[in-house]
Amino acid sequence: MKNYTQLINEFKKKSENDKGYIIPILQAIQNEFNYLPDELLHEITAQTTITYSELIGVASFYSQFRFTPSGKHLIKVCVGTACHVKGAMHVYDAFTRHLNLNETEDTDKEKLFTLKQVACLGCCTLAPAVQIDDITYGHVGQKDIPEIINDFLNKSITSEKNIQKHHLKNISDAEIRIGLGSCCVASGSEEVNKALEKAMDTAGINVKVKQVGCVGMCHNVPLLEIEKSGKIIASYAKVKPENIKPILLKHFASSSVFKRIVTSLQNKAEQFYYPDLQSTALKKFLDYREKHVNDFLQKQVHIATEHKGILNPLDIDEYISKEGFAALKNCVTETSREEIITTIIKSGLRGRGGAGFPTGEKWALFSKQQADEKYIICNADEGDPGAFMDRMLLESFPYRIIEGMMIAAYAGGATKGILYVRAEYQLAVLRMKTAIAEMVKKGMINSPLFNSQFIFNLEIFEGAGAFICGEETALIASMEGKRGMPHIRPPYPVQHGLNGKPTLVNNVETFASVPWIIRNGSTIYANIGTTFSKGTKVFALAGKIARGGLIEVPMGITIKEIVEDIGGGISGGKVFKAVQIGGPSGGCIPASLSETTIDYQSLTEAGAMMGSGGLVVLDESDCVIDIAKYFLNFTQAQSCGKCVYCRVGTKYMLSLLNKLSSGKAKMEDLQELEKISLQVKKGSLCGLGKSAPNPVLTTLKYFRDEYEAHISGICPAKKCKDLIQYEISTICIGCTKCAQNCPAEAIDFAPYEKHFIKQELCIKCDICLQVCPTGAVSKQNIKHD
Amino acid sequence: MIELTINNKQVRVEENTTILNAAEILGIKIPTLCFMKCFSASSSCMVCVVFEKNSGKIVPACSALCIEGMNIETENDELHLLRKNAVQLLLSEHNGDCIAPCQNACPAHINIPLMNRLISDEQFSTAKSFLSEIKNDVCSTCNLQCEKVCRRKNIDEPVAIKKLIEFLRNTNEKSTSENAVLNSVKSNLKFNSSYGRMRENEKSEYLKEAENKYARMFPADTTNGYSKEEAVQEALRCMHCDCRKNDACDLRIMADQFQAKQRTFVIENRQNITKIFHAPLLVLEPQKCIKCGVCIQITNSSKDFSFSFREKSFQVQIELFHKEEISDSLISLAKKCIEHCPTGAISAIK
Ligand SMILES: Cc1cc2nc3c(=O)[nH]c(=O)nc-3n(C[C@H](O)[C@H](O)[C@H](O)COP(=O)(O)O)c2cc1C
Ligand code: SF4
Ligand code: SF4
Ligand code: SF4
Ligand code: SF4
Ligand code: SF4
Ligand code: FES
Ligand code: FES
Ligand code: FES
Repeated sequence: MKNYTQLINEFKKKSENDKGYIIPILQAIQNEFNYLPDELLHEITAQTTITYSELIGVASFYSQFRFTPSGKHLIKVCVGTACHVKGAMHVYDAFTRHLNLNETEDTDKEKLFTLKQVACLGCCTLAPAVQIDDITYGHVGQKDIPEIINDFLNKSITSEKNIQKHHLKNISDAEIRIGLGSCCVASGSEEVNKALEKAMDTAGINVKVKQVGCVGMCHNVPLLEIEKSGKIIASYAKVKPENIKPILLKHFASSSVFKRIVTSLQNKAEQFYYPDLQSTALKKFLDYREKHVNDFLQKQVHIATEHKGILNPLDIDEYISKEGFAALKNCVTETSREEIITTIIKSGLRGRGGAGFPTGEKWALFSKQQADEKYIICNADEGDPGAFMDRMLLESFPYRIIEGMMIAAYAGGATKGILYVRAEYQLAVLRMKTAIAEMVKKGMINSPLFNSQFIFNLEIFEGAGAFICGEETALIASMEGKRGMPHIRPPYPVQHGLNGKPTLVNNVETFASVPWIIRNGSTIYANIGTTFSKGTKVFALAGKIARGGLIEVPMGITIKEIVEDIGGGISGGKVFKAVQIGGPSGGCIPASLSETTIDYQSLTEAGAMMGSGGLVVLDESDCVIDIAKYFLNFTQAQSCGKCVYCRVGTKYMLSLLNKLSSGKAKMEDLQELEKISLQVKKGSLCGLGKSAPNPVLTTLKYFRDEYEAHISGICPAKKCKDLIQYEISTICIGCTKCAQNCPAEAIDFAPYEKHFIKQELCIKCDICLQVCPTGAVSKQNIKHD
Repeated sequence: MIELTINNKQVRVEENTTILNAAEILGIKIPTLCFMKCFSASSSCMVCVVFEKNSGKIVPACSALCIEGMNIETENDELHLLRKNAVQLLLSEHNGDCIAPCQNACPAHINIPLMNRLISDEQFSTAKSFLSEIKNDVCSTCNLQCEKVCRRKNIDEPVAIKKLIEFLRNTNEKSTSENAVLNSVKSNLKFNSSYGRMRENEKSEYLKEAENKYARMFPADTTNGYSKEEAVQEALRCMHCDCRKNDACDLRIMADQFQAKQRTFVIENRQNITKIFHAPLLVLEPQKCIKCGVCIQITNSSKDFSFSFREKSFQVQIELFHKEEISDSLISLAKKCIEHCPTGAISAIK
């Protein structure tokens, strides 16, 4: 057992105010024990000025903390938007059954696994996704669960450290790049990386292998690119470890071996192909010149994600060689603070955290504040359940974000920066920590920068898991060791922020856009986009789309272009229904309005919101009431609980939606839902409550007929469990597969005869439909029109 | 100095003045519920919302600061509806009875729970005074309405209210003609919170303040009814269903003012009623809390006795942590909480 007095004292030393380290100290305890033992909470109370009540108040507010011991391993089932539309709840239920958990339990009898729902693991293109401790599994089907658990128990846990250690000497002018963003890792790029190392060892090939951040083509991961003499000569998508050897030999081995491989790959063109030869669908090779690869990339403009897929995230020299810190240097050594701010104002950059406040104006207000201490906070608490842009930026471009922060700090006259990152983003936290350490080594942080008077200090604060802490006043409250409850603005953080001092809060993407703007000038930036929305926006494109991923598009692009050109349309031959944009604060824009352009104004006019940048594509099999309910469930659970319209009003809205989805609602309930939604928007204190009704209001506006269908007991998309049942049609070949897999033993079967579902036993888990080889199982509305 | 307009009247105020304070300078009254003078505003109830015409925004006056050029309107239909609905939403998560069901059902509206408490305290003459203004034959005609709805019925048998009243009538104690108790409980408030059926796991909460050794006292003397001892025993079975602050509760006052109904918004899964006794200091009934946070502010630096919110969202609940020792300073802290809690969530046990 550790000496906790010592631990507490360590924290005490760090901050003059006890309250300031409540969250870090709880995190330290939670990390050690996986829960917060009561004795330790009392210990803290005894040794500090913090009261027990405060500890409980804070700890119970954040989802990271628990008061009861957890199992040895943590299973996180992603129920983020992208995973939700791909059946995450079915997966969650299947885990519950597998672990034999009843409604109130989250840990199995052997205390081996604790099951938890999380919103967005950040690999939406692999939805539904599940993470067990550090290992992520993508495309999880219910029937895969036993296999996954076995696989997990057999696997040794790999950590970032051993990914990092391998840097082979570059013996030629070639380079192999492998993406190690979260999506990539989740889809097995670490295994590919290991296979690569092993293959090079055995074949005696020594080529520089470079780990790069997110490539953006998350639908093609793991992605391997081979560069020779500065040119990409080949890109391999969806690489598996067993593909590595042939690939390596093809490009780097002796000529005799090379020939052999070439013959075997004769019919494949060189540039870009899927090596998964088993699957005919994937055999089709992709070429950068070919239309859809081209489309995916061509409509994009890379500013915040400049050099994506090329930069090693942590290689500071490489960053510098690609004009990194040039903007910062220019600002600190040659530009006045006013000029910097003028450039940002002229560029038209607006905050990318959701509200879209003009960044330059905020900086100008900030620089005017007089105080002995001023803070810069980078808001990386990205909590939208279907978005992972900020995480990708943090993982892939740590230096760029820091550069943006430092420019802001310099221009605003601040010297202390804090990066507020969601604790769930472990890889991002690790990379940022390393990046900071590198910059300290280089004398850029904690030392006079470029021989100027400017000394910048940067710390990381890990958020403890509360969506509302993305709201800036709540974020500040949580840093002060309080429950993350927002307060009314004014006073704005710029005037009265952290510890009562002027504080500039900007989003990750906002900061990441700054260096480019400074280097290229405000005019070039302002030429991109529309009259009131300038530049680019990064989106996490996911859902029922052929090609998902992280995209950066110019403002003014239409939804249609994103869905059809970049995303390649709907996957699986279904019909495009709507896009959900802006996450829980945003709304659903129907396919009929897909000419809507992406800019602050037109999205707001359509009832949605730019929001943080989640963009989930829905097809005909998605029920809008299910989607509205999904988001409202999320915001309702994430409400801080302070003001009555948000705390109780959203709960009431949810009651009405539940009535609808179970077919118990009446026509009056629709009016009621609309009325209360509008009131919640008006009567809530902060942005969460004010925007929570948006998903409901937009679906009501654009899909009223679907709401009305539910009143008459029909779910057109056949999604709402209470209204549908599973049926087996006559094309059943009697293979017994469904019956074997049915967890409820609800399927009556005689081999080679048509099977039959006993409705009273069926729990509507969807497994039979998924396993049936002939498509004989279907969902039907119980009521017919 | 900042200049702004409220209801078409100009006013000049210092910086950092709230709209509520600015309105007060003009003599304009804005209703408030969660806001209390001398405490920092939590802005949770939204009863004080006002309309800012220039921006089209609706803001809570208790914490929104005056900004140069604001044009505030404090009364309009939309605001009235928002205020009323704010109260109705609060009521939809509010679980408790303002007036005990027995009293509510009684055609003469006798304050039965108080009468029972007085009997159990052997204050027979005061208890008897309750009956002085009531016609003798009320009980003989009403067919036991009170006992039909008595919450004790859910546990075993209703309290023998009629027998207790008969006992008071028969007893030779004189009723105190002029009495403070009687007057103090005469309240003009009409709103009555009522939470519906008692749940299984709420029974033990209610029994915390009642005798539970026997189901119902049967008088040994069947013709003359209860003896004093028997009456006391029976009265002790009463569970104090009425709210301890029903004469002074701000939520009830607001509900009356806005003619709010409790069941406008029906929400799934109401929370269970709990009654937490920290004798002799106070009783906490979290399901009556409106989340104003005043008690937290009052006790925020005390390590021995402090309130905090637990959880968030709809689950948020007020909780009390305390050590067993009771000191004078704790007594005064507790008193302060009882005094300032706007509802019956925190009240004195007696
Ligand atoms: C409920 C809610 C959640 C928010 N979440 C985030 C977030 O995750 N990241 C973020 O940068 N801003 C978030 N914001 C917006 C912040 O309050 C703030 O406006 C933003 O960080 C300012 O930076 P910007 O001007 O660069 O956008 C959120 C706001 C609300 C109301
Ligand atoms: S709107 Fe919701 S999240 Fe915001 S302060 Fe009110 S209760 Fe809290
Ligand atoms: S019959 Fe029902 S319970 Fe069984 S697999 Fe099919 S959906 Fe699941
Ligand atoms: S707290 Fe107020 S509203 Fe609630 S029961 Fe008591 S008197 Fe009635
Ligand atoms: S228990 Fe007492 S207060 Fe409650 S209803 Fe019965 S007599 Fe009235
Ligand atoms: S218990 Fe009373 S004082 Fe405390 S928060 Fe609730 S209503 Fe306010
Ligand atoms: S990984 Fe599941 S929604 Fe993003
Ligand atoms: S995370 Fe690997 S390409 Fe996006
Ligand atoms: S009195 Fe202003 S919000 Fe309650």
